[in-house]
Amino acid sequence: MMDRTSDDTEDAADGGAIFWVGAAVGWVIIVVGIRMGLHDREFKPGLLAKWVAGGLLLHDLVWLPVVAVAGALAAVALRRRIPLVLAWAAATTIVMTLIAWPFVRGYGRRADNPSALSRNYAHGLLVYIAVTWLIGLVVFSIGRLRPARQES
Amino acid sequence: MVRPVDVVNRIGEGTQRRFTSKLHETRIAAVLGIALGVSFSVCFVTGLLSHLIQHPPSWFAWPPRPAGLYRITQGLHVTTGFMAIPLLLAKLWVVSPRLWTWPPVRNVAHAVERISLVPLVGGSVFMLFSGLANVARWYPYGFYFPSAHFAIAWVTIGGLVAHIAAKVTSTRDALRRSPPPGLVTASGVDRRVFLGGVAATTGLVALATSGGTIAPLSGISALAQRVPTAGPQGLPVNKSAAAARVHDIATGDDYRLVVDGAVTNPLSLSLEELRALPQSSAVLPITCVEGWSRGASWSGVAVRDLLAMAGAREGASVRVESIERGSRYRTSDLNVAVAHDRDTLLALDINGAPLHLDHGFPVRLIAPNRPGVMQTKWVIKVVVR
Repeated sequence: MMDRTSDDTEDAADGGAIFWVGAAVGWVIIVVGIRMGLHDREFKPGLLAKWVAGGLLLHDLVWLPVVAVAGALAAVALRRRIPLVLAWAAATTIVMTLIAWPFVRGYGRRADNPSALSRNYAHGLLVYIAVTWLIGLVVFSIGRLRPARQES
Repeated sequence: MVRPVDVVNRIGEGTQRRFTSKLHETRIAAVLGIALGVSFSVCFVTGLLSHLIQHPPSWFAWPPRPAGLYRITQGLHVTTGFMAIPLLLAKLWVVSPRLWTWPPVRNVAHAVERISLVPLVGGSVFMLFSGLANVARWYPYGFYFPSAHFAIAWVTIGGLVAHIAAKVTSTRDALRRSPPPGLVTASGVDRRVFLGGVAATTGLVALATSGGTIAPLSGISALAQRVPTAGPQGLPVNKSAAAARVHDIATGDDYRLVVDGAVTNPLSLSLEELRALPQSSAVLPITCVEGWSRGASWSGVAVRDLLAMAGAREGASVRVESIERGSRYRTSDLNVAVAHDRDTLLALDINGAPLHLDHGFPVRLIAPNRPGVMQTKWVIKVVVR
């Protein structure tokens, strides 16, 4: 039998008063947002719906499977559970790269405005990644040394 | 004979079984959910405020004091937006097995809960992506960013309200009680390490991006959108004179500032005549909606002095117009309190020198507690109302 996780059992909406009131209020706000947008001349509902749905599908059908497969492959390759602190360094590297990407690529740079996006973002990203892995390796090494000291 | 529904059921159960990490648990999801709820709420309130300031309804008048308040609220908006990115990714990863919850719908409440995730997750991803792209001045989409960002913010917050209502009981229970025997949960150490890691990543992201808002961090904020001192006269520029196509009129000898509308003595003043008027000074920040800000010393003619010269009534409001054509921000309105504030200037100088063309030469508006897009550059007309 498969193990139960707390997520399977405890977490379903109970359908009580708080749930239904919250759901009603939430959907009223959602409809207000959609109506507000539709009353704006510059709102392009079809195009925007594609981007919002695209974000959702990108997460569910691309990002999540890629993360799951990458994690599984890494675990197989290392033949053991990946230390959390090194998984943290890898995840932080991905997050920092995602955030830095439009800056590194300089999509928004304009020749007539050198004060915008004026940093060397590729260099800055590499520094942050280096610091992240340094922190990760230091914490990992300290964790490895501790049991040895206790044994001696 | 194998029924299709059985095949689908087997795939669903099999997929769920493959998520073996103990970190996919309710207590971690609850803590991340609270952090994300707080950051989204801060983003929503500060964003709503910024929208109201730029598009004020009749019942809303944003005061000019405290002078640096908008600098704080908008800096908070952008910084918490950046910080929400690692929080959202961590939260989505922790709850990812629920995407394959089987059966997908158990009852009506569960169906409503799951359908409410569509605006919440889709909206969250969109808001953080479009906000990040805007700060990076990157517009890969064909719609107008402020309209879309504002409307989808409501959709996302609506989804968040419905989600909080669905999860409030389980979140409270998860944080109060020990899980029942038989449940697979992370150990206390693993949970603390994971949440500590998310906090550390969030902190690193804040450190790397907030230097445009918090000047002392500028040296180490390697991913901040601006260097506060980079730009003509030590001040960044958001829209250059070249992009606004104002060079010829702004630098022409026949430039005149016109003050008309509800006045008894309409004015038409050359740059020399403006410089001959009593000059006022103020130290005020330029605060961009993209989150960066930079203070400077400005001097020029106080708008209230100009209104008095033109014979405007005491409770007059003002519209300032730019030379620039075809821009959404070529005019900006000053409510009564702003128009009559002592520090609301039609600035001629910055840090003791005439304005650079990119900073609005010959005349620009500078007023306290106001978004940069409303500090109109290349001013040519003041309409009193």
